[in-house]
Amino acid sequence: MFWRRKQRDFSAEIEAHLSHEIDRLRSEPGVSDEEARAVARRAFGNLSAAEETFYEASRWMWWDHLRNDLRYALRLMARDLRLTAIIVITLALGIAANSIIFSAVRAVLLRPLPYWQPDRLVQVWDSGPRSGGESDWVSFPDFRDWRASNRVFEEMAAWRFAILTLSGGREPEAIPGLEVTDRLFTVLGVKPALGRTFLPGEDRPGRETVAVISHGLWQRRFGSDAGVAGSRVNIAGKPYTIIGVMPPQFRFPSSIPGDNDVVPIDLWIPMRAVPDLEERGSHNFWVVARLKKSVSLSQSQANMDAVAANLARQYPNTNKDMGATVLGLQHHLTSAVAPVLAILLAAVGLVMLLVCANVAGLLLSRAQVRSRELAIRASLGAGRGRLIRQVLTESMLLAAFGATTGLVVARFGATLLVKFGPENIPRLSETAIDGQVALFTAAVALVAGLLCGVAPALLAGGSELHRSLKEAGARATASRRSLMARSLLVAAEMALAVVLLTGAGLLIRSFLRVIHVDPGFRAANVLSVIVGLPDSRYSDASKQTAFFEELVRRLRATRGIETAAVSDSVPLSGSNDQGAFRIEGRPEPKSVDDGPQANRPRVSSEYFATMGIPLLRGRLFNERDRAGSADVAVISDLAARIYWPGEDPIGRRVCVDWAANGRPIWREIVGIVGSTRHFGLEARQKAEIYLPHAQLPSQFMFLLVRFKPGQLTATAAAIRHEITGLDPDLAGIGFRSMDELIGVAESRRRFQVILMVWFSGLAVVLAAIGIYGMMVNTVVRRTREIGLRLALGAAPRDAVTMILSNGMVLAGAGIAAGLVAAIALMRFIRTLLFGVSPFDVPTFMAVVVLLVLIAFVSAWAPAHAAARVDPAVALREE
Amino acid sequence: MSTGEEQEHLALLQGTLDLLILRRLIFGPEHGQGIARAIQETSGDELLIEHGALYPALQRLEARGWISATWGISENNRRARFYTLTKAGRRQLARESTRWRRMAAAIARVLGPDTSEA
Repeated sequence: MFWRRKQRDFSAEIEAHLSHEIDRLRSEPGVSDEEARAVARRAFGNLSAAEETFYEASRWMWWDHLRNDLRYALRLMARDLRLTAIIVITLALGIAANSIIFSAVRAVLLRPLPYWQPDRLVQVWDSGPRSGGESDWVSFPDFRDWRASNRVFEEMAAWRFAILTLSGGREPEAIPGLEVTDRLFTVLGVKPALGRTFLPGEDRPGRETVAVISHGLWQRRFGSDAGVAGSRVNIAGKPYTIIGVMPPQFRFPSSIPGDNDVVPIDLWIPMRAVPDLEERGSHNFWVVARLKKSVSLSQSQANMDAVAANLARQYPNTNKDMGATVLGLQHHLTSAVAPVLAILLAAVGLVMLLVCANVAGLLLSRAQVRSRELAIRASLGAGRGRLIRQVLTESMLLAAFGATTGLVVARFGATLLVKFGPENIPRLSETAIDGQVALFTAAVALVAGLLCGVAPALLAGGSELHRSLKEAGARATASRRSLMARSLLVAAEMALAVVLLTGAGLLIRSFLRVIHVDPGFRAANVLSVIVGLPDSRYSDASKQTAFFEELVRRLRATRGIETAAVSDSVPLSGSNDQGAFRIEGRPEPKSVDDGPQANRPRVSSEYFATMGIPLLRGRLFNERDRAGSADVAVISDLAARIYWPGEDPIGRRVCVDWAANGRPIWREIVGIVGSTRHFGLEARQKAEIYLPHAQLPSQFMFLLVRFKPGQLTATAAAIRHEITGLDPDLAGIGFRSMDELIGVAESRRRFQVILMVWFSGLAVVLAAIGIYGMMVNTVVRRTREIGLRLALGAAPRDAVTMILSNGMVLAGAGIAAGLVAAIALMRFIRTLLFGVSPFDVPTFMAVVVLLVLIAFVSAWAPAHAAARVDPAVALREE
Repeated sequence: MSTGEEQEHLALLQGTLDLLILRRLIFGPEHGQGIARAIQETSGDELLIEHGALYPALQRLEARGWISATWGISENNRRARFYTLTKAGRRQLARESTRWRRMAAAIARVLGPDTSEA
C-alpha cells in the first residue's frame, strides 16, 4: 500500500525528475549546468511544498504524531505512577461495573430466545373478567377454535404443567413435565439431538404413549445411552416409549413469568385425555404460536380479537366478554425484570459519569503542573489541534488501560453475578463476558477517554498558556480557567452522587418495607413438597383423600415433626386457584366468571396450624368435614371485609363449585382466618376462600410439614420414606422450605439493592476523592497567599476556615444541583418502589447529610495542611 | 502567503491533471518527468503545469489503485520511478473521459453555438 512509502523514496523520485529535466535542458545548445539546474528547479516549483504535501497526505505524519503522542503519554504516566494507578483503577472499576451490568442485560433482555426465528413466537392468552382483564390461562376448547379459525399463525400449540412420576428400571422419580399438543416442537422450530419429536396426530387418544426427554434427564437417568429411543418406561403408571432427546441447551418453557419457581422441564408427553379438554370454562392451558411470515403482532391481535368475539357470540355462557391477548414471547418473559435491569444500567451510567469527572479532575491537576511545558511546546509551533490531540491521546490511553483491567474485573464480577444472582430472573445464569460485551466495553472506554480528556484538552489548547510563559508569577492567572473547570467537575460529582444515592436510598427503603411485610403466615421451619398421584391408580376421589390423609397422619406421628397438612396452592409458590364464586341471596352474575373473585385453596384441616395462619372467628376445618357431610368453607379476613362489609359472614353460604348434575353446591362459612400474601410480598392482596380437601380432593397437592428446629434434613428423609412406604411407585418433588420461597420472593430486590449499594459506595468514594484532590490542589496553589496572611497576623484557624468553607461551598452547590436533578428523575423509578414515595423526605435528607459529612471529612485534612504553612518558607518560594 | 487561494487553484486543477496523467499512461509505463513533458508537449505547451504539483497527483492516483509504480532505469540510464496504468485506472479513465467530454460539450453549448467540438 501507498502509505507505506517512505519520505526518502519520494525525495529520490524528485531527485530523478530533476536529473531528467537537467539532462533534457542540457541537450539544447549553449546551456550550462548551472542554468539547466536553475531552470529545472524553477519548473518544478516549490520543492519543499511538494514534499510536505506528500508527507501530510501519506499518513506518515499521522502515524508519527500518534507514535510521538503515545510515547509522550507513556512517559508522563510513568513519571507519576501513583496518579496513573489511581486513574486506571478508577476507570477500571467504572468500566467493569458497566460491562457486568451490560452483560446481564444482554443475557436477559437482548439475546434472542434459543428457538428458530424467536421474534415470530408469541403467547396467546385468554383475558376476561375472571382475571380482571389480565392475561389468563386458556381453556382447551378455546385453543382448538383459535387454531381452527385464525388466519395469522403458522402453527399453534397448547401445553400445561404436570408432575409426572417416571418409574420402571430404577426407583420412581417425580419429574416436572409438560403435556403438549403435537405441534409444539414445530412451533418452536427445534430439532431433537437424538430420535424424533411428536408426529402430527400423536396427541390423539390411543397414540399418545410416546415421550420426549431432556438432555439432563437422558444423562442422569439413562446414562447418556445413545440407544434410548425406543426404550419403554412407565410414566404416571402407564407404559410409554421414549422417542427423542432434546439438545443440551434446550429449555421450554425457558421460564414462567410471575412465578417464583423456575423449574427446568425434563419430560414432554402428548396431552392426556382429561375432562378439562372439553370444558370451555376450565382455564388450565398455555398457548404458544408462530406468526406467519410478514404478519405483525398488531395484525395478529386484530385477527384474534375477531376470533374471540365470534366465540363470545357462540358461547355466551363461558366466553362473554372474553378476549384473546397476543404477546411476544420474549417481551412477555422479560417484562417483569426489564425495569430491574434498566435501573441498574442507569445507575452504572451515572457511576461512569462520576468516574469520568473524577479522572478529568485528576488530569486537570496534572495539566496545571504541566502548563509551562505545554506553553513551551505551543511557542515552538505546536498548533492548538496538536496540543489537544496530545492530551486526548493520553486520556484515551488511560481509558484503554482502564478497559483492559476492567474486563478482567468484569469477568470475575460476571461469575459472581451468575453465582449469587436471583434465580427468578430468567436467563441471568447465561451472563458472560463475550465478544459483544467486549465491544460494548471498548465503546464505553472510548466515550470515557473522550469525556475525561475534553476538559484538559480544551485547556491545553487555551490561549492563556502563552501568557503563562511570560512570567512565573502569572501562573495563578493562567490556572484560573483550570480552577473553574475543576470546581465545576467537583460540583458535578457531588450532584451525580446525590442522584445515585437518592435512587439507592429509595430502593433500600422499599426493600426494608418488603422484608418487613407480614406474609400472613409463619415461614420458619416449614417444608413444602409437591406430590402428584397418577390417574391410573388414583382416579377415584376417595382414594386421593385416603392417600393424603394417611400420609399426613404418618408424618404427624414422626419424631421431629410438629404437624403436617396438604394444600393445592401455597403462598408465594406461584400456585393459586383464582376464580369466581357466588354469594347466596345476592343477584346472580351475568356469566360464570362475573361477580366476586377469590383465591380458593383446597386444604386439609391442619393447614392453618402448619402455616401458622391465625383463626380470627368461628372454627377451622376438622375431621368431620368430609365428603357427604355439610359443605363448609373458611374465608380470609380480607374476603370478609370486601364482600361482607358491616355484616357477619359466618353462617352465610357461598358457591364455589357445582355438583356433577350442575346444581350449585352451597357452602356455609364456618370461620374467618388471617389474610396471607399469597400472590407475592409486593402484590395486591386478594380475597381467599379455603375449601376442605376432604370434600374437594385433588391429585396434585403440596405437602406442608412444620418440623422442630434443626430437623430439616431428617424431615425431608422422613417425607421420602413415608411416600414410598405408601406407594412404591411415587416420589415427591420440589422440596423447598417456606423461608426459601420468601427468600426468592425478595431476591430480585435484594439483588438490586446490593448492587445499588455497591454503586453508591463507589460514587461516594469517588466524590470524596474529587473534593480531597481539589482541596489539596487549592492549598498548594494558595500557599503563598496563606503564608502572607499568616505573616500579616491571621490565625492558623482562619486558614483552616478559608479552605474548609471553599470546599463546603463547592459541595453545597453540587448537592443543591443534585437535589433538583433527583427530584426531576426519581419519578421514573416510581414503579420500582414499594411503600415509599419517590419524594421521600427522610431519604433525601439522609443523602444530603451523608454527602455534607463526606465533603467535610474530605476537606478536613487539606484544610489543616493549610494551617501548617510556614510563612517564612512560603514567602521565600518563587 | 495565502494558502486558501492556492488550495482553490489546486482543486480546480486536480480532476484535469488526474485525467491527463491517466491518458498519458495508456501508451505504456512512464516516469514522472516523462509524464510532465508529454502533457506539456501534447497540449501544445498551453497547459503549463508546475512539475511539483504532478507528484502529489501521482501519489493520489497510486493510493486509489489507478496506477502502480516500480523503480526502473530510464532511456538515459538513470534510475526513475515508472508508473503503469492498472485495470481500475483504465476503467476510471473511460468514466472520467466520458464525463469530461460531456462537460466540455456542455461548456461549449453555454459559450456559443459555433464551437461544437465535443
